[in-house]
Amino acid sequence: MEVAGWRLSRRDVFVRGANLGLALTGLSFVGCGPQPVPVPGAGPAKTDPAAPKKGGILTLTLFQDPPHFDIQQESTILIQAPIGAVYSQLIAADPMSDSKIVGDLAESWEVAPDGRTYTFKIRQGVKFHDNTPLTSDDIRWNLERLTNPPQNFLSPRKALMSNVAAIEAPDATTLRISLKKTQASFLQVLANGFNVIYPRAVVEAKGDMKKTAVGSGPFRLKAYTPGVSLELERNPDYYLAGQPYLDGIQWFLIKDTQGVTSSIKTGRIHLGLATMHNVGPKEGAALKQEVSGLTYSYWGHTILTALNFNLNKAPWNDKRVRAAFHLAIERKALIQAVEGGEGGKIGTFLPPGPFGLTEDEAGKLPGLRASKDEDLAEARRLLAEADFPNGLKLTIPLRNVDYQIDPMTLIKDQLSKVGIDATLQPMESGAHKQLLFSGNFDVVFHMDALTMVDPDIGFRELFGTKSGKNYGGYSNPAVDALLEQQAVEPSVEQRKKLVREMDQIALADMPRVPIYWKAFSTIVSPQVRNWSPDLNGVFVSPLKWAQVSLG
Amino acid sequence: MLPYIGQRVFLAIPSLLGVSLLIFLALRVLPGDVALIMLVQDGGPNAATPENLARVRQQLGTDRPLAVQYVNWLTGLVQLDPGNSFRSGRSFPITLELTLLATLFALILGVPAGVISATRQDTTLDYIVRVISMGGIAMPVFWTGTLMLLAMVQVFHWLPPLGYTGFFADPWRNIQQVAWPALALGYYMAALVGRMTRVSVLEVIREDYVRTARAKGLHERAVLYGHALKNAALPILTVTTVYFGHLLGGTVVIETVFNLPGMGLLLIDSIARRDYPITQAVIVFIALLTVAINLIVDLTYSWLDPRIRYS
Repeated sequence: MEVAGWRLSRRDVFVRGANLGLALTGLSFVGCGPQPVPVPGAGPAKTDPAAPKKGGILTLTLFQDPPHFDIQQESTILIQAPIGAVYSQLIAADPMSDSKIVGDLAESWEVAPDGRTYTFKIRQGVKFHDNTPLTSDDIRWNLERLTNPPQNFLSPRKALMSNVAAIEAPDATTLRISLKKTQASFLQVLANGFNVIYPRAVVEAKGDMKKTAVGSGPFRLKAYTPGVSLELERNPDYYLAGQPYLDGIQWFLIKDTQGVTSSIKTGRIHLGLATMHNVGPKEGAALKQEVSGLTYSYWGHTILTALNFNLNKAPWNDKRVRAAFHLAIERKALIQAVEGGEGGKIGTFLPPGPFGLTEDEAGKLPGLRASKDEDLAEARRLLAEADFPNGLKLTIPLRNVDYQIDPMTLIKDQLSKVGIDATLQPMESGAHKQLLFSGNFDVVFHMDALTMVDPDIGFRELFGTKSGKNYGGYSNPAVDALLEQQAVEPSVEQRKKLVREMDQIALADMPRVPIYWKAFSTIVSPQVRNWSPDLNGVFVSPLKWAQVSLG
Repeated sequence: MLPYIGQRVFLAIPSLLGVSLLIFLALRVLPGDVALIMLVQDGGPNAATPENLARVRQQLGTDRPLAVQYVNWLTGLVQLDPGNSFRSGRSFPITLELTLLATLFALILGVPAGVISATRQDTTLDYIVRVISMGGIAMPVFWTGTLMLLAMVQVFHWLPPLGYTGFFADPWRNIQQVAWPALALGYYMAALVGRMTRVSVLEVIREDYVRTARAKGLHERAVLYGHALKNAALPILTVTTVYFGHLLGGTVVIETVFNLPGMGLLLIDSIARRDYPITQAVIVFIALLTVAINLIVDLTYSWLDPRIRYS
């Protein structure tokens, strides 16, 4: 045949075709090798710490696709984590200091002397990403929906807002919230990461924000490819001058642990949420060795690992039996082996923080203290007294994941020293959750991440009568009374006393055995500056996202 | 020719129906109430109210009799509406590109290797090639893939760009992402193709017409590729088809290892989440693909070997 003046036989075509194919194959691998990629081991930036570098795209890992985009209707951080930066809040955690709260859309606020009215001065000139103005009425409307959810709107934190009597926006610069009673934790509640402000017009037009992400935050939603990635780009009209520093944020969905560690090692990812991806302290230490300057950090020890007892079933309704479990467990060794030391803290029912006991204080209490001989003897004695002189047998269900199986294997061993023969029953997450919430169990191992550390929320959800995380059916009127008292106590010192008292009563009752408080951990590349979650360990406020920089 | 094609296409339909029925029934037998699991996972325990349960069951269609569900599902599939996800549409081109590239690698690596092995039978080169292909068959695909990844990360400190970019959007980035997983998959198939090629060519080389071609004075290459290989091609093609099914199975693992959002990963995901509609749709898709490939190869036979056409 003739092609462009050449006489080609079929053989020629075949041979040349094969050669071309081989060449192409070869070529596709050339240059698939090492490309210049920012080397993570470059060490800490030597620039002036007060002047963050502008530009760059921060890459992070997502462990699961967000089910939709509506942060307000969701109870986990699956949506809030990637999409939170698109919105603003009325007030938020201070990016510079964990325990303070600053205004975001609120420039300032005043609390009336009786502690029941909060008046916020609203920032002017803020626009949503679709260029419509954000007014005090938008904020009022959003908070109203969270407090009194309309039909077809699920407000998982409605109970937190139950103390709100009225929300008013008398003019464009003012928002006033009146409470039924004083509430010491109200600002914390308002500042939580789920209270984002949506544009009223968009919600009314679309019905909900499940498929739309239009806010007023430092970043706009650029693209979302389900199963692959979620991209945010800088909002050029953000109201804080000079911010955000980043050009964009990209979240990549990586399911397996190996994928996350490889991506961090090769610099493809700057930041990984280690806890969610099951990258434990051992892998973290290995990574730190390979990539100089990498940090494996712990945030907010706000996950209570505990053995939950069904208080409506014998013998778990016998306080002595529960106490025996508590005394038998050796926490220090456990934390060292499983959490690498820093990832867990010993404590009572209050997480380490402004209200909780320090590790030293907690370490003096029986069960939590380091020396075990007395405690083990006491445990055996209590079991004998409770009619179990030869110990007892039971099955403990837990989730089928390494970070639960590892500690429970050690605990099983520790329990056997006092005659408790526990058989572990790992089960799939969905089944485990169902078991917990159904109440049909004997003893269940669970890791509960507190919604918020403030005892009005955290302690209440664990120990308040009939509350959300009170799986075993614990109810003590004294605790409930103190919960109400501390909620309205204006003096911080006095409130701390009440909270500690509440904690001691619950500890004496031992409805669940506190094992340790586990922290969320993240792996952060050395170029990332200023990223950190708030004291609850999970929320990164939009103000914080605006301040993150690469270098 | 046309009646032959028509006949093959017609025969493919019962296979597809059979597979779809099997998959449909298999998933219905699994324990666990999908509606409850879906609700609790998304909205917490309080979300599983009787009204919500009824609503989700109605959406999924699990409140109707089995036969009705099957027919509804089938009609939905035919109209290309597998249930509720826009993900399945996006994942198909990725898996397609992966498998096509893997098949290409397999043929490009396997056939010449097999020919070399056959023509230099029992020499050192032959043994080397045979050992390498034995490795390809013995090593599980995920292991090859993981080793490859490890080598990339540990030795070269490099990983393919994350995510997935379409070929037409950014060809270079796309090749970087797909080439390595395709190679891992292709290695396995290349080994199989290579061995089959070797056996087939060995057989053909001993034939009289090859001796005649050589006697005529034809260049060895002409003899090999012009005469021998063309006749040896049929079994090689059969192997390719048969193992294409394996290839598709391998994509499930390779996509997980290399984090490509293709149908394989989607399948694993949907099973974990008890997302029945997606699982069913993906499996039927895979079945469709396999049947289609078989059909194409059947038709290729008839083009390659006219004797088959008229039988």
